This record gives sequence, C-alpha cells and structure tokens, in this order.
Amino acid sequence: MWNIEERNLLKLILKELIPASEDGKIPSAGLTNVINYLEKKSKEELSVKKLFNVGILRVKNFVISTKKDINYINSKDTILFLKILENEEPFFFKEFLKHTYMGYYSEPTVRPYFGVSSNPPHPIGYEVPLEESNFLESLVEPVKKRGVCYRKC
Amino acid sequence: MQKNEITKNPKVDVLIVGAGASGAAIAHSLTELGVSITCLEQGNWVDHTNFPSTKPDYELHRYSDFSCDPNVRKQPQDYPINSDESPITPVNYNAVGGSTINYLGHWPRFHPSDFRTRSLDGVGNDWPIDYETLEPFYDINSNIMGVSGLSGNPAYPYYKTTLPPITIGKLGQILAKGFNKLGWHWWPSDTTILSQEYEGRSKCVNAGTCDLGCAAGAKASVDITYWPLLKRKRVELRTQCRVREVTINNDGMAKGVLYYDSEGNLQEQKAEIVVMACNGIGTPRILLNSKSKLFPEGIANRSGLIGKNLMFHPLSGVVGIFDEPMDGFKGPMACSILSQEFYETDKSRDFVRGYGLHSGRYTTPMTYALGGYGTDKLIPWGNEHRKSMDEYPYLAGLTVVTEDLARESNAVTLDSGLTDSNGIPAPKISYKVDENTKKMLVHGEERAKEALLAAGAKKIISAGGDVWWRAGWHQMGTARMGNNPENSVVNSWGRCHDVKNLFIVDGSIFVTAGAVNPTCTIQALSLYIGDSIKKNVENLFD
Repeated sequence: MWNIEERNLLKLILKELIPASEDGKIPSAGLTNVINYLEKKSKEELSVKKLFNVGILRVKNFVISTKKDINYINSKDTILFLKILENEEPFFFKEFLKHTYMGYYSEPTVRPYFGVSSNPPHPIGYEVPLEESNFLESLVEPVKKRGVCYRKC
Repeated sequence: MQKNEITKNPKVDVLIVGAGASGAAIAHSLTELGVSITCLEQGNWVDHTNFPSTKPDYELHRYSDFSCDPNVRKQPQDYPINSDESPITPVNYNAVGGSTINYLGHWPRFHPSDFRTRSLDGVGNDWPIDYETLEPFYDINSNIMGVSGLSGNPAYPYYKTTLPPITIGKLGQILAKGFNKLGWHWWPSDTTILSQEYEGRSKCVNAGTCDLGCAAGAKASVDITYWPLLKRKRVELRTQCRVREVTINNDGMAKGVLYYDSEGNLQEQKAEIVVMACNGIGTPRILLNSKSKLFPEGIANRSGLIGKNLMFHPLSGVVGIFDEPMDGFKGPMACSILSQEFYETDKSRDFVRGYGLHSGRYTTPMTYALGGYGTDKLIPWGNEHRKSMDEYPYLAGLTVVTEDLARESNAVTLDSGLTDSNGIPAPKISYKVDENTKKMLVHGEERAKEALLAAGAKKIISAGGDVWWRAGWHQMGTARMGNNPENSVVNSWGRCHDVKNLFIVDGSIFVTAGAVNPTCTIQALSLYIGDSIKKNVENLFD
C-alpha cells in the first residue's frame, strides 16, 4: 500500500519516536517491523489510513523544506519537526505514537530486551517459587502481633 | 433467516438471565430444588486454548478484540455503553462465565463494617443482612471456585482458605517489608488463582496475563468451575440469546422474557421465576427497558431507584522505581499483597470510610508504554522514552482502591440514540467522583508513596489524583437491597418488592460498595438468595 518513499518517510520519524539504546543493543522503532504493523493497521481501518495520510503529507513537506536527501536529514532537525507536529497535529501525533508503541512492543524480538519472554506467556509462563510457609509466617508475624484490625459490628 | 412471529418456548420453572458469576452461583443453589432451570446468555462459550495469552502478539489483543472495554472490543455479543458523562467507563466480558473470563481473580471479602455504614459512620445505608449472614456462603463459594490465600488475616473474622497462597513474588516480599517497617497492615491476597492443582484444574504458571484469559485454567472463571457442575445437573444453557425485556402479566407478576436468538429472531420464554444476573449495568438496562402499563418507568421500579446509586471503585496508581529488577510481569497481575491499613473510618482523617492499597504486579512492556501504571497517558517519546523503558524492570506499584458512596445522581439510564445490534437501547452512564472519594484518593496516593519509599523505592511516579478511565470493573448499587420498598428495589433476599417472582442476584443489589473487588461477595450473595428461595419455596410469592 505504501510505496518505498512513504515507508522511508515514516521510518525517518519512527527512529526518533523510539530511538535505539545508547549502546545500540536495543533497536529503534525504525529498524523493527513497526512500519509493517502500521501499514497493516492502515489497511484494516479507514480512519487510521486517513489519519496516517495526513502525517505522511506533513513529513513529506518537512523533508522538502530541508532541501536535503532523506538520508542526510539529521536527528536534531527531525526532533524539532516532531515537536512542531505534536503541537500542530495533536490527534494524529498521539494516535501515531500509540500505534508505534503497539507495533514496537508487540514484536517478540523486542520483549526480551526488557526481560520478558519472546514466547507467548502460555503455556510455559514463568518459574516463580512459592514462598516457604515459615518464611511467609515470619513476614506476616508483625501484622498478626498488632491484632484484629476490623470493626466488629 | 429472521422470522416475523415470536417463537414461544415451553414454560420453565426458573429462568436466569446471564451465565456469569452470579447467574451460575444461583443456578447451582437452585438445582437442589429439582426444578427446571434455563439460563440465557448473550455471549457464547469461550475456547480457552485460543486465549490471546497463547499468541505471539498477545499484548495487542488487550487493545482490540480482548479489551476489557466493550466499546473497544465491539464483538457481536457486546452492547455499547455511553460513558460520555463519566470519568470512568464500565468494563466487562460477555460470554459464558461473564467477566470472570477476563477478571483478575482478586478475592477479598467485604468487611463486617461494609454492611453497617449508616450505623457506624452516618453515610450510605445499612444492608438488611450482615457479614455473618453471608459467611457460610463465602465458604461454600470458595470451595467451588478454589481460593488460594493465607488464613488468619487480622483484617477479617477468621476464615479458612481452600488452598495455600500463591506466590507473592519478589515484588510482594519487598513491599511487605516496607509495610512492616511502617507498622501497617498487609496480607497475601486471597485469589481464585490456584497455588496447586485443584478439582482437575492446573496450578498457576505465573504467566502474568490474567486479563487475557487463563489458558492454564488456574484462574477460576465460572465456565470452568460452576458450569461443568450445572451441566451435570441438567441446567439448560442457551447461548447467544440477548434478553430485550422482562414481560409482566395482569397480576403484576413476571411472565418471562423476550429475547433475540443468534439469528435475530424474537423468542418468548415464560417462567415461574425470573432471575436477573447481568451485572450492575446490564440488569438495570433490561429492567428499565421493560416498560408496561403497570410499570411505565421500567419493571419493578416503583421506587424510581433502578439504575440509580451506581457505585464503582475509583482507582489511581503510584509506582516506585527500585534498585533491582522486581520481576513484576511474573505472576498473577492483581494479586500479590493487599494492605487494609486505611480501610476503616478514622475520624482524624478528612473523609469517611476508606480504601485498600493493592500491590498489582505491573504487566508487559507495551502496557507500560501505553499507560504507564494506570496513568492512562502514553509515556514520552524520544530519549525520554528510552529512559522510561529502562526503568520498566525496576517497577513496583500500588493501586489505591477507594470505597464509593452511593449517590442517586450517579446513574444508569437508557440511551435511545445508541443501540446494540438488536436495536436495544444502550446504557448511558452519568457519574461523578464524589468529594469524599477524591480526598481518599489524595490520602491514598500519599500513603502509597510512603509505603514504596519505605520498601526502598528510589523514585516515585504518580497519577496525580486522576482516576483510571477503565476502572469500571465493579458495578454496584443500581437496584439496591433493603427492607423499605420506598428506598430499595429488592428485599433482604433479592426479591423485587414490586414483582414477587422477579429476583436480582448481581452487584446491582449492593447497598454499599466496600473497597474491595466485589465478585466474591456477589457470588456469596447469590448463593444466599438461592438458599432463601429454597427456604421460602412454600410461600415464595407471599
């Protein structure tokens, strides 16, 4: 649906919305499948498509205004543009940001960077040992010592 | 293909509307009568093997087809809810099992004082029953649902839990030490999530996505607890049947209901007794839509109170950032520990009644990014985003769950301009957070910060007193119980004052809200009403 130019325009801002980690280990939103997710959303929902088209046009105009090839636009200029966009098109910006976050964090390859399994939670789940009853009893001991704390009526 | 005429079904003894927590419980109780029982449910059975938590993109389902918000979910069985005039929107699930499909399984009981707020604190109304009345039914229900917990909580009269507690986890242990440092009450949460195998159900695998359905079967939803028992006792369940109205005969008794089947055909089901079990929004919606010459303002509504006195539990959250990873995504979402230090009225405070501090485990990275910990605000973009997400593994949160006081102006009405797929008017919510509750929220956030700091938090993030939009899980009070027909809808055992073969068994009949998750009390109440029907069966309609 989106052509290469449009995809590149959106990637330009995606990599600033969720930048890579300083050490480069965690990728930016521009380097994951976020663009594919956004395109899928845009295909599924007409209202999203219309909204994203507004954004694409604004990014295109921004790139033209820099008089630079898209590959040479620096991060500082893009961030400045995004701040203007956030102010002037708040509804688009919030929705686009929301979908960017959803696309990024639904990537199974991204979750492990935050300690969360790339697998679905079921059926394996996580190993968390049950507390030993002695340990738990010692933990609640001060609470018990204070006595009843409800009103009898 | 849709037919024009109404299909009439043979009369049954008991007709229950709604196959969720309360409907299943009363059906179970009434099976002892050996009468014919039919239950109509607008949703369908859900396939536990296909829950979102089994899919790689599981988090996305939380914001689409498995959202707790029916206005987002928009599944065929859902009805829309107009919440334009409310800071809190009701959330639910429509299926066999009702909202127990996507609830979080937190299972605290009401306190004895919750039934006596007028006598004790001069607010709300006293219930016509008390804690002791419900106590045996809490126990019966616990055994059917399978409740894990630690017996001996000093915030309650003694009761024994069915199973040992689930793990409170690293997060719970650290917070517990903080509460101990302050000398405040806390206790491992009671929950319907299994700490060990029980009645053929598996124990919890700590997946952390209880709201997306428990594919392990460790969380008790009533489709896997009560309904297998009910099927064995030949309770008839008709799914994808949406009730439009309760009909009435010339004697002022409920005749039965009119409902739309899955094909959109209108059917009539007559019954000796009709039981409403559609939650605190769905029940008043149907009753208000059941207009007749005898009841022009909705069936059983001579008091004018159906739909009024809507109570939620307004919530806000506070998060602490700790020095070490808290593993908050591991383990049941809402159930770790619960502090009821500030539950009861303390005259030195500027509010009456109280609140609980619930230690929810925080969920997955996407949910954090989209709303933080209940702040309903996206976390920042750019470099700030990366900093926020760097903190994600180190989070632990406390949720302030406040008691709501009944106000007639907080109400469910019908919105004739908004309908479901069968053309039935949608419920409209008019609701404002009470001044007393606002003070509680402020107090609660400050105490939550203290507790988190005492536990070792290095930084605090707070919602700043804003209530969560999707906090409308607990819907109560819209057809309340009482002895006086002028200021209540049902009597002390759930029978409508105005229509003596019409019963209500869901959260609608709550007189007060307490400050705890209500499903445990809803089901105990439903079992108690079933018991009362059995005891009064000889003179049920006197």
